[in-house]
Amino acid sequence: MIIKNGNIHVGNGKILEGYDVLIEKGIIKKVTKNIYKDDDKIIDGKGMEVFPGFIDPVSSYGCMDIGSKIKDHDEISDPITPEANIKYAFNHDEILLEELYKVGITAIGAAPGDKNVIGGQMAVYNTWGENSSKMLLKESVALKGSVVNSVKETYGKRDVCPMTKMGIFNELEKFLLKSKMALNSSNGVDDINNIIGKVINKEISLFITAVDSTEIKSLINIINKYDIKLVICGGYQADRCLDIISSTKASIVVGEQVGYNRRNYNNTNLYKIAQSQEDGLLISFSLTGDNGPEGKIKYLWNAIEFYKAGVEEEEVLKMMTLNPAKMLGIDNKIGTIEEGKQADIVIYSNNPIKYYNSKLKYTIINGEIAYHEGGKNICC
Amino acid sequence: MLLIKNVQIHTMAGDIIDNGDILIRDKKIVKIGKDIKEEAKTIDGTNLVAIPGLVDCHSHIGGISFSRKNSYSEINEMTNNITPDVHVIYGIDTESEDFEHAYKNGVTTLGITPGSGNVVCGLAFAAKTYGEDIFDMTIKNPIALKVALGGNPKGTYGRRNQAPSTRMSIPNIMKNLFKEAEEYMNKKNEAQENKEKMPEYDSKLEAVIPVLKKEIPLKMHCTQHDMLAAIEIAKEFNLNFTLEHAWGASKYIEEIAESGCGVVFGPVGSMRTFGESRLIDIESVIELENRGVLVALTTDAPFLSIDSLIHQAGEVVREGGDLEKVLKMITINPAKIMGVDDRIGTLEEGKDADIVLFKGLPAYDTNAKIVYTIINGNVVYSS
Repeated sequence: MIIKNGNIHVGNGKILEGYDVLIEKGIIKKVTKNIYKDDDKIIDGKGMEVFPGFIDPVSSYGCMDIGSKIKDHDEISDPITPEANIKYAFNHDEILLEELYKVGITAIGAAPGDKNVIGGQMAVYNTWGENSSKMLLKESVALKGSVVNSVKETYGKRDVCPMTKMGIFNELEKFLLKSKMALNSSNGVDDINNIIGKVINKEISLFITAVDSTEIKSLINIINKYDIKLVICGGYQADRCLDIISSTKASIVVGEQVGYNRRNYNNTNLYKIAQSQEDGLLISFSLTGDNGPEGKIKYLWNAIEFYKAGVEEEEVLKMMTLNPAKMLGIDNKIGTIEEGKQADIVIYSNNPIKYYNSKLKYTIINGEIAYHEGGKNICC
Repeated sequence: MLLIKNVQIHTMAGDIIDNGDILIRDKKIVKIGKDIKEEAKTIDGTNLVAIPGLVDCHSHIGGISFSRKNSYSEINEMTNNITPDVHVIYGIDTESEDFEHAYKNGVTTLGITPGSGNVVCGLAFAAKTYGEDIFDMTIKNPIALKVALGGNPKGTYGRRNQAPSTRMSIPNIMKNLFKEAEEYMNKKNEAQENKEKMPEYDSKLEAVIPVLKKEIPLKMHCTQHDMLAAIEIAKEFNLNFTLEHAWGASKYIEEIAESGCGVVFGPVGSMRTFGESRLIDIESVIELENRGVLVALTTDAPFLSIDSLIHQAGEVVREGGDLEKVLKMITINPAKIMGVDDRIGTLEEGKDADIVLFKGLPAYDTNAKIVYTIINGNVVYSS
């Protein structure tokens, strides 16, 4: 497949005007001008804006069992469940129902919810494909936890710790301390200790949902003792403690901004958060807010909120592509339009970060056309 | 007096006026045209766009709040499945920061409605977003009687093993009320000649009479196939009505257009599940508009942030909607639906001076920003 003459937004801040992209066997083979090749599929990209597939770094789409009262993404039997693996909850039918690829989201960081201090292991999935196994990009990419009120609301009412913020942070600290000690003294590493070991050794990140500045500050106070790669999810008041966040080089996935007036009550300063990228922080955003994931169209609205706040459009695009890929440790495979990467590409008629009249023309996932305007659903 | 000079005016009542002036006196627009010369406080509108203050005719602002500092819900009197005589105006907290957020984002008039916890929920009203108190802010009360089909009333009463526990019984509960109100109204008419025939005063039936007389419409909360039941009920009693939310409308274009109702669509942005949110099809408003249906867009604020009204409009533009027509869906169309288009919704001489000045074209440029919000001729917000 060749995309001809597109405006290629690489995802790292660069734009290549009038370039071609050659895709072979699901991989981006070449990004250059004037590719001539007999190929079965040519997409005319003239006047089109071509982006790397968008990534939502923290999402429970596919993992919730939405038809059931007993959800699949919160193992609420114990506040610390590092062994819980999102892979076993991920149902391709459920994520296909939302059609995330129809706004250009081609991958998610599938994650446990916010009800456990340590909720379990995250995985990266494409948003379209034949089944969960074929959609899986990488498993056990990170551990996910939470220090927000929903933890104490889950356990406190059963008279089980944590009933308070004190309890939440105590559980978190005990977990980290025990993990470190177990690793230092273990006679061989089991699967669970292996993933915890990767967190302790900074090979993978620890994603923790923290919303208020007090939650964020307490979280960082603990994390700083263990030298861990932290990703703060939610972060609605992160703008009030950016200096502290900078001190640990934590990343931030800003939670959904439009539903339930979250931003209005917190007055989150998105520009200030985005500016912290100059200090080397990675910033992204998510469809996941306080009440689980929101509808797909809000992904574009959240991008717009950053742009409207004064963040330059290619910087916003980074938050949608390269930055989340880095947070999930999968930037060697997705996140930019560069040779050698998986061909997850979206083509819009105009730049959706800047103009509402932008229509999605094509979504390409793993080199296959998952969606094209006017076409029937190819999958399912 | 206030004079806005050299601004691109989208009147919503005709062609766009480039480099036009707007003269405001005593809360009203007194003149629109070119080169108006008048001694007045002047706003330079160069490179700005003027449109009528934005309107969302279906919101719950001030009636429900998710603020952690002060959360409350005053919009569902769920002690009886039929409460047509409750006025949502008495549950409105004007201290809610959502009002400020509304006018800072260009929304100058709201329809504020009861929630959908009952089958017949209560009376909605229209208010400006800025003023001394809620009565001072009110333009018209009531504007409609709110009723609800589907999962909301069923969820409230089914849980208590009371009616309605199913969709099967919801239409009958409404129809019986309307029949009773018709009889009551007839008896009252007869009693004009014979005072002894006057029926005992019934506040619920009294509240329904303006609906039967078509003085106010029914605001019918419905989605997907529930809108067929809504249309059937309204037709049976020959009522004016609007379909509110109307997710899934693209499957019922013929029925909606034929019924002559208005549609208040939205909000979009919810997660897709089974049941009521299985199809959320904002593109349907373009086809409805083409068929002559009066269409407005809603955020259901504060369920969605009120500033997302522009996002809602932007999505119709993305689906191919004509920008001027789409802007009408958040200005004059909702004003018509509320019956307050004599005062608001367009920029015309004689109308209330509710004006928003944007830098950039709203619902087209994603970063179009509010520079001024003017309500009743007063600048209530400037960037």
